[in-house]
Amino acid sequence: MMFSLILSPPWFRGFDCIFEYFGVIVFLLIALFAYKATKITSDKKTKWLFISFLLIALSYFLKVFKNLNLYFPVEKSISVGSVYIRYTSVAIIQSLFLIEFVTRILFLLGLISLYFLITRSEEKKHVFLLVYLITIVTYVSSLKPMIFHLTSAILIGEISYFYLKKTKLKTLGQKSMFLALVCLAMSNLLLLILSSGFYVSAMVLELIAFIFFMFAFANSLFGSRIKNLEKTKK
Amino acid sequence: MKVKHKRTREEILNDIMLIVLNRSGRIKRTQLMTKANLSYKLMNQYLEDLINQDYIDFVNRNNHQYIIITDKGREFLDRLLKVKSFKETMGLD
Repeated sequence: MMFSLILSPPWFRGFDCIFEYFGVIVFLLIALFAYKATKITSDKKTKWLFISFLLIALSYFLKVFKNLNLYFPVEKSISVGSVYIRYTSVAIIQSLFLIEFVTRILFLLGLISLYFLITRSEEKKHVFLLVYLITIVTYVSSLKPMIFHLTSAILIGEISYFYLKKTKLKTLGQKSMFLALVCLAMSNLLLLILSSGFYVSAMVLELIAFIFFMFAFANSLFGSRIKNLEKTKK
Repeated sequence: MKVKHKRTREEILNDIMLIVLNRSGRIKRTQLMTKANLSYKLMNQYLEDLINQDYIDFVNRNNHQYIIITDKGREFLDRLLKVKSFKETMGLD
């Protein structure tokens, strides 16, 4: 079965890596604050939030690493007798399947963990079954990448729905967080269509999602804090 | 009638600190007990916790003992408010 390893058009190569590198920073910041919050309050929920965002950040980091290796292959040369051969080689080609597998499974595990957090599901007995199914989905998606994007879109869609139901989007941060989730789900839906035009649109949507995540995070730390302090002083 | 969930330890500490701050930074024990909706015994346990961590202190004014928030307490409250707001934004609260 043949499928293209690179969806990005030549002029866009590298830009998507910058976008996703920004995503890595945003998710790491959220994970780090969740870790700090766990230290302050000893709350299990913030501990799981830390794990979820760390898994997603690691997944994006591996994706950027893989894409950079594919876009900018290493130039090598060997000499056989008097013949001098120069060729380009993708350094990670042998472990490409493994990197792709780890990237996808980390992302889906991060999403599942977020899903359990948002829905406050107590059905812990289903966790092993879900992890097994995610492993299968990730394995199958090595041959059919659209399965991975469809699963991601469905999971993020579910998370968005329960987030909306739970929070009712009362604050600016919550609205921003919801928009970030919707943009990320739409980006994954666009990636179902394996074309370079849709790939660019999906990456731009993903960048918008990261900006919304960043705004929600910053707003929760600075905006609301000032408001709360003002309220307390009245 | 909607039943409110049982407050966690940090929620109660947060409430105590916010109540003191709302009363211009000082409050009497009995007033705090009513406002925080705690029994006298429980309130004293939480106050002891907060005093041991230097978050609050007692001062005597006009023959009355008042609870006040220390600078360290203000910093702690600031951190708690940040965490609360973060949890709300992430859909955890």
